[in-house]
Amino acid sequence: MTIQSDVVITINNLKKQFGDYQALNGLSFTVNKGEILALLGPNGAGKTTTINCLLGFLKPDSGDINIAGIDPQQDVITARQKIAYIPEQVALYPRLTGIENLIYFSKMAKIEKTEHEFKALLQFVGLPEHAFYKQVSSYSKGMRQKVGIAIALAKNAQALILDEPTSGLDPSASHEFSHLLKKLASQGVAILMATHDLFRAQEDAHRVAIINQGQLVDTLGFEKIKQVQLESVYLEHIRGAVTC
Amino acid sequence: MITLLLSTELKNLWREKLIACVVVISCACASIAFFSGFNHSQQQHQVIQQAKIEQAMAIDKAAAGLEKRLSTTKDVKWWQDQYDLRGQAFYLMVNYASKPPLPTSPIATGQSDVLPYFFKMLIKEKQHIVHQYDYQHPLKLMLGQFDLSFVIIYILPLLIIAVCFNALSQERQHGQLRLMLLQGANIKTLINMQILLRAILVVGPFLLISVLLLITQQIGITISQIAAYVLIVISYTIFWLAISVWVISKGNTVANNAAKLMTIWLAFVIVLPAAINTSINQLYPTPSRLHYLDELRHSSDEAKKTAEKTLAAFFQDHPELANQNKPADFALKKIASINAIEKSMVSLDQEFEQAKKTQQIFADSFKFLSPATLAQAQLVSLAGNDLLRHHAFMKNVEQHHNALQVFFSREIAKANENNDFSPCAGCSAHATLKNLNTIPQFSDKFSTEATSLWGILALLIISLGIWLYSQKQIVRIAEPQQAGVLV
Amino acid sequence: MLTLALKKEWVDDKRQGQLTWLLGIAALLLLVACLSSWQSHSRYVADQQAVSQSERARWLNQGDKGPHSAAHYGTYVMKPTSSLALLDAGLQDYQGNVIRLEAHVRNNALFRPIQDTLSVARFGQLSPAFVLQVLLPLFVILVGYGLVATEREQGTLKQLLAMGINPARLFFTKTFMLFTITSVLLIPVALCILLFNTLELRTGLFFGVYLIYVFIWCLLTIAISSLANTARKALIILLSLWAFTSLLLPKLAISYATAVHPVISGQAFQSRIESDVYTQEREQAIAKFKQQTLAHYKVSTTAELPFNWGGAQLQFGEQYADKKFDLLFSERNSQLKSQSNSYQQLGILSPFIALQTLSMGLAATDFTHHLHFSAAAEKQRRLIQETLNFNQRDNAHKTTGHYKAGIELWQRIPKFNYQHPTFSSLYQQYIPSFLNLFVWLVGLTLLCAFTLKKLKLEEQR
Repeated sequence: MTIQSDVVITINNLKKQFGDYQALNGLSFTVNKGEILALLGPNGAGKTTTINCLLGFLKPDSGDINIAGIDPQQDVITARQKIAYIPEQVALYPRLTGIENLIYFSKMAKIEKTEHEFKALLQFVGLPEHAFYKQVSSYSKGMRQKVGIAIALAKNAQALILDEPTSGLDPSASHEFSHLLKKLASQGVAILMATHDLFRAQEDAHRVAIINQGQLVDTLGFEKIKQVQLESVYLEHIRGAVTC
Repeated sequence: MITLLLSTELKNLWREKLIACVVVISCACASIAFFSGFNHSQQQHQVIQQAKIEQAMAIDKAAAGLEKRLSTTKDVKWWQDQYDLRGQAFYLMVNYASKPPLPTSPIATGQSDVLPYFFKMLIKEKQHIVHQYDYQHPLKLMLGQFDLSFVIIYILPLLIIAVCFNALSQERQHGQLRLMLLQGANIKTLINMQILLRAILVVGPFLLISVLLLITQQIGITISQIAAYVLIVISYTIFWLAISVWVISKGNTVANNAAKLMTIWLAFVIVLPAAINTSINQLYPTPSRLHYLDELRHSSDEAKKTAEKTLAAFFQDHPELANQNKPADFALKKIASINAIEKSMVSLDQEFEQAKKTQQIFADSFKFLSPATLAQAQLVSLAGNDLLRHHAFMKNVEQHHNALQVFFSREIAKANENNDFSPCAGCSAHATLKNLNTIPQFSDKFSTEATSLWGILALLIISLGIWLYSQKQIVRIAEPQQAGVLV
Repeated sequence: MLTLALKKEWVDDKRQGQLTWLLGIAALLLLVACLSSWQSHSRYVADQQAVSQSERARWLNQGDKGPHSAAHYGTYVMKPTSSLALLDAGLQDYQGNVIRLEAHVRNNALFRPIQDTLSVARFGQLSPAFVLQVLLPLFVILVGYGLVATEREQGTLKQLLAMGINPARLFFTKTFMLFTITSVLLIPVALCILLFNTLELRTGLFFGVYLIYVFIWCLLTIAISSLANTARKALIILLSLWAFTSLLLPKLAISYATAVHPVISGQAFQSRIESDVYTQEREQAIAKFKQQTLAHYKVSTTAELPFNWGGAQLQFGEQYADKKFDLLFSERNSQLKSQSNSYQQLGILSPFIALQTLSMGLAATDFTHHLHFSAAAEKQRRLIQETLNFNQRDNAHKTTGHYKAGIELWQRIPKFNYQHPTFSSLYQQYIPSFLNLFVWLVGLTLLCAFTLKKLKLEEQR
């Protein structure tokens, strides 16, 4: 399989079955450097399964995965070094402060920065300064997410994978998040965003991939995203596949 | 990385109030348990000291009153006369055999609260002597002492489970583990550091305090004994840590881990030892003491009925005591009767001993089924409160009992020959025992084999085996899975 | 609603498999415990009856001898066991079941079975009482800790409350459901009781207190499950409570009780007997009695008395010693009773202590009943001494040479037929434990009220 230099994430003909249930059925897509790819699909379409395969937590039955030249199934440790990940619920230690969590997770990835630099990172992602030294148990979802983004940024990874990042965020927080994302993309990070938020997808993504029943049903480029009613296109693909 | 993990883990744990509670409980348990065991052994020391003082005072009092006795013209009944061999032998003798507690005694009470540790010796059937005991509330005996061994065997595993059951599992359930793995953390290092730190927080204070107290409060305790104690505690702790890691490696929820670990604790610490004990009693019961008593009474009756035959047999065994020209004194007849009863009970006594030996063999094999029984056996042995030391003591008591019988038989025979038991002017008998110091005294310096630590080393090896196996399972969690995501 | 809840839990647990396993294990342990207990109990009953008969025969056939020789020959009495001891052997192994009755000496009970055991015996026996008192609450906890807490975590609790279900009804349904499941294990106990006992106050109360104990744990489990945010927290709290009340507190309580009411050592006690009983004062008292007797009968020597002086003196000496024994033994027993009372009072902190005290008391295997047996044995001893001494006093002077009595005299001593006291004659000693169980029920009722308030708030959230 030939990997183009701009392609950071490659998924090729990925298949995964759980018992009788075919979660992924020959899924293929790529994510380029500096690109935001929104992965849309209904519940059970295979988004989370795809992410788990990318992160090396799940073994696909067949197909190829490549992250910046590394196959996570062959060398999961090196592959994970290339990825930053922000889940729907950012998992932080509730009794550590925001900055303590950032320092801890960053040092774990052998990222050596001064406390001043970590603070600057938190400022960059928009976390209020008064929250730096407060325990995360008192944070709102948006604040937790900001810390999650800071952890991802500190890693300086080539790929960023997001799972439902805007779920539960208010419009202001969601807008802030979108701003950050675009900044990251402009710095060359390849971003894969699995989401139900069609508005955010339309606003932020360079490309949209619609998956259903483990297969890629459509890809929309940047121009097309801006032109169409994304919701109608999405529903058309999804409803068309539904058997009553 | 290790410093980062330890410092963050410590921060996390400390901010969770549970660990502070656990540390406080660990410290409190160490102190209370030590002093409870210490008080128990001190009480026994005091009783033994009192007995020795009483014995010494009786000898001194007799020495001081000898002159008066020798010059008295009042009628003195021999059974009330401390200067009469017969009076001393059968009624008045103040002669104790005792088993002083070792410096390590506070560690484990064992059977020391139910087994006799001192005997007041008299010339009577040994069967009537060896069943004396120190009276305590039976409920106290049933519930047992809150000593260091109780805390080590029952409480420490509970504390370990309380702090370890959610190690890694909580991170797994809440998502931090996923993030950590993505950041390049090594899952084995993670779990090992978490478990070791938690273990140090639980067991560290307990060991520190208990060792300090043992060293400062117990004169005569040796470094090797302290080292053995620490080894036993650490080995037992490692077993529970290994079990915790094994359960965590199954990848279940935190609540599931807690339930599993509690069930394992219950099985190893409560149910299995009770089942082993019950099995021993059912499969190899000791003969009935009621039948023993019945037999003892029967033997006594027979000895009295066949008094002449008994006496003849006695003189056959002790020809040096026979006197052709004089009939045997009542005292010699009594000693002969005692001898005969003891002889007739030998087979039943041996039956009891054999039953106990069989039980001990069974217990020694099956103690490996549970780390609790293994650790208890080692701790009790180290404390000197095990059956091995007690048997050595009882052997010495029997030897002392025989020595007293020999002494009094010889002296009574001599006195009889010299007509010392005949009434003299103004007294019912001459003073036939002028110096109580001549009565054989018990030596409480008896030794037993040093505690063998092979059992606990076996436990250590098994624990390390479980730990290593669990490491393989833990690593599996971080790897890509076929059936479903574990992280 | 109870049937519906039972059905749902049964299906849920069956699919999980946990309940079946736990019930199976608990039932197996109870079965093994009952079987081994029955075997030991039967063995003891047979031995006690056989040896008691043998002792009686030995006493009657001891031949012709002086009454005082017979007094020294003595006899042994054995404590019979109650039928409820099959379920709770209590302190039987720790307090000796045989007492020697002889002249001049008041003996302690002999042959404590615990002295013949190994150190592994201190882990306890798998007896029905052990399973019911120690393991059954664990069963309740492991089955019940998540009944409300897991529903809360899953979100189904809010759903149920939103559907209009009364929180109180939900709470008590869960409690009774847990109680019903657990009570299944009490059925074999009830059968055991009925098989070996007549229905009377003891047996009824025995079963009743266990039911209350199980109910307390069921109520506590559901209350904690309702209050805790997560199932994990509920489990930790309940297990901590169990460990504290069933393992730690009893040991601490008895340590406290024995420290506050110390008893002198056996060695010191024996020394006191020797120094208080067989003293110069005793000799003087006998001499005084002799003078008074001679004066009363207006004679100058004992040979002139119309009875045998030896017998009279022996009885006087015996009564003198008895008074001293009474003082010393009651002093010691008073301390031991204070220890028992202190321990019992601490049952307010632990339902285990309250139940254990009542269970042993009802099974007649506790210290109170042992003291009752000891007192009965001492009464028999004094009767024996009095009968023999008076016989010597009244007959020895009529014969020349050494007076000997025979089977006619030995038969006059009635066979020692010990009956356990009725519970109604002793119930006052156990009032603190009954009260403690009641306090626990009241306390838990208050806790339930608080819990229901919290559940109502949950509904509103």
